[in-house]
Amino acid sequence: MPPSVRFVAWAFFLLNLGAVVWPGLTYFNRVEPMILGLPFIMVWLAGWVVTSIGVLVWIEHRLHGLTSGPTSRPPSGGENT
Amino acid sequence: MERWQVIAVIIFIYLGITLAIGLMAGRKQSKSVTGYVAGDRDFGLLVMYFVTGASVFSAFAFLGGPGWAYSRGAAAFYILSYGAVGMFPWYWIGPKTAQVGRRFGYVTQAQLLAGRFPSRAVPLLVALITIVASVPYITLQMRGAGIVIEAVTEGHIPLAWGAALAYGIVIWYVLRSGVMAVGWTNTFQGIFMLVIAWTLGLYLPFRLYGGIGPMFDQIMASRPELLSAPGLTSSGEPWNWAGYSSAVLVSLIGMQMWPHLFMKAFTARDDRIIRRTVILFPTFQLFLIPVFLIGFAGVLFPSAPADADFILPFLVLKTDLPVLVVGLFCAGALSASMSTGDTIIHSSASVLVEDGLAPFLEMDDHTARRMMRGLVLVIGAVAYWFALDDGTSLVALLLGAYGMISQFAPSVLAALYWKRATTPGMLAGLFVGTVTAMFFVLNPEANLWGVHEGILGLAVHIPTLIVVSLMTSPQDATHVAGFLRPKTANRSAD
Repeated sequence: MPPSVRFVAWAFFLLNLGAVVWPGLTYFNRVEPMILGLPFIMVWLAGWVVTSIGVLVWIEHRLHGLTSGPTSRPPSGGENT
Repeated sequence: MERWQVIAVIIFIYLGITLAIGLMAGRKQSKSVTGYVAGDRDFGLLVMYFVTGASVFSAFAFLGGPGWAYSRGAAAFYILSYGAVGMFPWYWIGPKTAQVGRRFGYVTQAQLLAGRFPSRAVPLLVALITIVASVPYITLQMRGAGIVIEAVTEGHIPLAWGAALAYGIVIWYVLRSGVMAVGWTNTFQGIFMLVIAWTLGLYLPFRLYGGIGPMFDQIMASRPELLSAPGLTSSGEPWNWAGYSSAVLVSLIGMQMWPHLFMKAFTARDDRIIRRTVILFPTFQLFLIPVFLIGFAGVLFPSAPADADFILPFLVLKTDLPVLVVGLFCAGALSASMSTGDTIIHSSASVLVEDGLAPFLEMDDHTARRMMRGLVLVIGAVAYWFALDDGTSLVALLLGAYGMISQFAPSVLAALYWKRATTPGMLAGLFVGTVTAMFFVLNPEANLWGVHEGILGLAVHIPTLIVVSLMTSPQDATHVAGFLRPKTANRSAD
């Protein structure tokens, strides 16, 4: 796995984790401003769920390509650790 | 026709469609164990997406989710927090598990563990933990189905009959079609759950409060404590951050370790399908938002159900919805229950035969498949027997289930990623971790900070795994390579 992908994956995983538990969540633990009628904390948590789709799509694009067929293999030659 | 009879008819139609899908699904499947347990490793993206989503979100999410939001407020948000982040590492672990499965012919989690850590104790221990954790879970799903049917038919179909009806059908299609039935019925049920949750979740706040914003404004004015994490405990006291954060942590570590989810890695047609399922999973996860909205819609409702878990059927019945909507809601709740119940019944029967019996008895493929079917019946019957009980005897086991299942995580990660891990290390870690988690489930007063038992188990498990592994002699390098690099390691060395 290219170092940039590895870095983004770990950074996102740890950031996401930190943002949804103590102490990260305590900074975003509020109702205002409401977005689409939802309390801010719900939007914050849902936002991380949505962001993870984007990050995973980017990783898939970098590692395997988004349009490749089912038989495609990683360009790096199959090293997967 | 009376109202409850119309609802009953809708339920029967829904159950009929589910049964038909389940029975037809298995027609093309081979008569082998790989066919029955792993669907001949031929699941495509559509089925994998719904199997994963619908299995993760059970009656707990559909009934318990609104119940938590209703009675415990922001505490429910932990359910929204762990899914996507817990699934993220599976983008790498899932395909690797599948590669190891294809290479060595594994169809269960214990086969993988026992492959890397050769010992007869490994499959036995895994099978034991799986059964102890799974039966209460199935019981909970059965009770969920029975509760919904009893509520919407105004007691004309009591819990015992409702559960027997819904799960009679589940067992019928699991017996006939194995994992293919689980796959295709979950696809149908998953679509159903998503549509019903989003529809009701957006409809109820508008119906009762004139919108989502006005609903939260009113809750903020009269019950602000419900909208601030970590919310409340089940007794209405403020929950603490240690409890909330460790619930998120143990759930995200444990979720993919449930055998019924883990084993689905062996069903995928190729690695790409697993990766794409992981990418798409968060879209399913977002259905918790309407689920919470339903629960919050009940907060300021003038009357209250006897039990918080009944808030969804209670609101649906009290708000005078069209009878068709009530019937469809009920089918949605049954979908949630059955789509999780079927896969756990199937996986626990498979695990019992493949891991609890096969290593010790000579049996051919045909016998193994027959025994799995027998055990599907036995496990269903045991869970039903518990479901008729009011469930109190199961509470401890149920609480402990996630704590015990999360103990598989270090073992699996060590098997796939740590070359220095050894069989004694893995066994010692799994054993002390499980015992520690169970100890704190049974003695909650010893748990001073309210941290989840599973995390306490892991805190003992991981150091034990590392220390014992380093103290024992390393495994043969070519043996280890088959698991750490399943695609490239030299095959002739196995």
